[in-house]
Amino acid sequence: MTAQVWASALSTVCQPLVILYLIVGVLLGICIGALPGLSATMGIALLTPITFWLPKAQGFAMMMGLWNAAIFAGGITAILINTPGTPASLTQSFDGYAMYKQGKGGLALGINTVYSFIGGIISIIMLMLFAQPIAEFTIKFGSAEYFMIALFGLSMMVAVSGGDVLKGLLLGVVGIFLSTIGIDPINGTMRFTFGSVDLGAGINFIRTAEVLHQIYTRNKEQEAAEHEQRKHNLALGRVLPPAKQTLRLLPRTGIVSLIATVIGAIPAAGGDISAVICWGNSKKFSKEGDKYGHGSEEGLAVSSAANNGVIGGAMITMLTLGLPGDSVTAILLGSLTMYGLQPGSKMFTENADFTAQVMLLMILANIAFLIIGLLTAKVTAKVLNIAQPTVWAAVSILCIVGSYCIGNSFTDVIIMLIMGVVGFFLKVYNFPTGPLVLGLLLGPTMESNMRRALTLSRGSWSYFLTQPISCVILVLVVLTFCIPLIMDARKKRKS
Amino acid sequence: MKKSLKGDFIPGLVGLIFGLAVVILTLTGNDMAILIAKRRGSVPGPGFFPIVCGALMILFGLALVIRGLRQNGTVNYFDMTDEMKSNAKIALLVLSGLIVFMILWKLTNYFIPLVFVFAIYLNLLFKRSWLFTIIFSVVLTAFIYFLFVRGFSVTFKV
Repeated sequence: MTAQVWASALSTVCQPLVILYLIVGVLLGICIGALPGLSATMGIALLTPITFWLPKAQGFAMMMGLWNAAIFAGGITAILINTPGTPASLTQSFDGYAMYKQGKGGLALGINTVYSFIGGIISIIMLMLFAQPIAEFTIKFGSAEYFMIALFGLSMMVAVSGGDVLKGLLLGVVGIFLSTIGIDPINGTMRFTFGSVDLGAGINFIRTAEVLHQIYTRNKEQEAAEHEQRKHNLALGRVLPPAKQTLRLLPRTGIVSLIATVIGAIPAAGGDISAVICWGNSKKFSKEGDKYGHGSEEGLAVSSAANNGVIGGAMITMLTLGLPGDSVTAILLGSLTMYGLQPGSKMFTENADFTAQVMLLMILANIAFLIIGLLTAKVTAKVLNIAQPTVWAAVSILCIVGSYCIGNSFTDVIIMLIMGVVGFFLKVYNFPTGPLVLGLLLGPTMESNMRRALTLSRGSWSYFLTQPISCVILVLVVLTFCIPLIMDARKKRKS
Repeated sequence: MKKSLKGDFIPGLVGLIFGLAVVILTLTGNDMAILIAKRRGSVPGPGFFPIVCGALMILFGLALVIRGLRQNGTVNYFDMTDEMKSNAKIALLVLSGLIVFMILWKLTNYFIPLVFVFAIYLNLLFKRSWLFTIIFSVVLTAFIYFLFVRGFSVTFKV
């Protein structure tokens, strides 16, 4: 792309109306991302028909604003009420909520905003500079490689088990089983649906269990004391992470953003997989790995960079190959076609001007949510530092709305309710719910690709070892298991 | 409650029974082949993953049962204080409210008015003041109406 193309794109995106629509998109994205049960995918799907009435620069400004901001905003409720706004924010609730309880809610929101911005910007720079080679690399991914990526994600089950590995493993397997309910991805057989057509689409999981459990374990005196403590700390606490800490975490979050971009570029691998892989591995290799899950600022920074870092990667495969990197880009592909554009390599030649506009809009969306996020962090923390019963009432109702909107299905609401009751007992019995969500998210990718790979290889399991990329990922899975064990053993010997 | 039933015994047993049910349903289900024979070798069928998951659930469930027995009553997850007993009643009322809300929604399709009534019910249950209850319910209902019904054209008709 020439300097002239960039200049022309810049003049288009700097038009007041384009900026206005971008900010509207960012604000909508923050609302949608922060509401439990509503995801960026749902937001884009609901917004797309509205944008058809607008010129493409304005329409895409709104969608880019919504997408980038929704992923970032998913972390807000993960931090403040321990309920991830989007699936990609799951790992942010591990450290973010613990920080909030320690009275560092403002700082947690600041870290979420700053590192989501860093992750987003690094992935967009990757998109601008290396779109073609990354796309050529990820197109080599077949079913064996996808299976290994899912396995890599699932290997984090132990990391998210919170100390009780046995219970974590049991729930993880239950999660994988629940993901098999519905239409079989290879043969089309209905599995465990008991004749229900709605169950054919599978199970979605929203955390109503959290509400019931918090009501059950409520201690009014302690709650009042914590509320006062948080109010006090929020008033005094800082939002912006210290410069020293930012500099210290920059190399780690930079690497995480690069990995997230590559994961994002792999078709069908989204922010949820990226966040889990990056958080789990960072925990294993960090000096302060023990603090992860208990209010680690580094852990929160890594999760935040990982889920926003996926966006640039997903755009790489969409713009260069015309393949959806994740569910949002699948809808965006449709939008491009509706505007008369053909996704693929021609996007960088015949439609270079528009492609440059999209990239610049993504940068502007990141700047917009950085400014809005930092300016409103204290207000948001104060607004959400409301009495617990208010949060419970709002989340109970929004869980109904969210679970219905996922598939316009009443069955989803019933499942939400059943899962809420089951989840309540799991919490009472001290089961870590992270592995369940992990199993539910990664189960379908793992199953469909393993079976596809074995069908291609006529049942030969050695196929996973003979494919070079798959073999490398398998080695990585083994290494991520072994290296922390070796490091632990060396530490023990030294001490 | 018997000492041995207090710790991880019951959740382990539930896991084990669930695993057994999965295995039985997979083995007896129609079109749930575990392996499909091909000309050369065989490939996993629709029943492969469920049966593996079921077997692992039985294994982990059994391990939890043994752990529960070994705990011998030293761990008790239902050691309820008086406050927790009254909290359990409120949690049960929230759950009952949710069920009634869903039944009425299914019968009448009046989603938005029901959201308003349910918000009032929850706030009264949590002993909030009348003024707060009204303001909260109006604001939340308006938010859902304008964002989802007007903004995104979600009909909430079931």
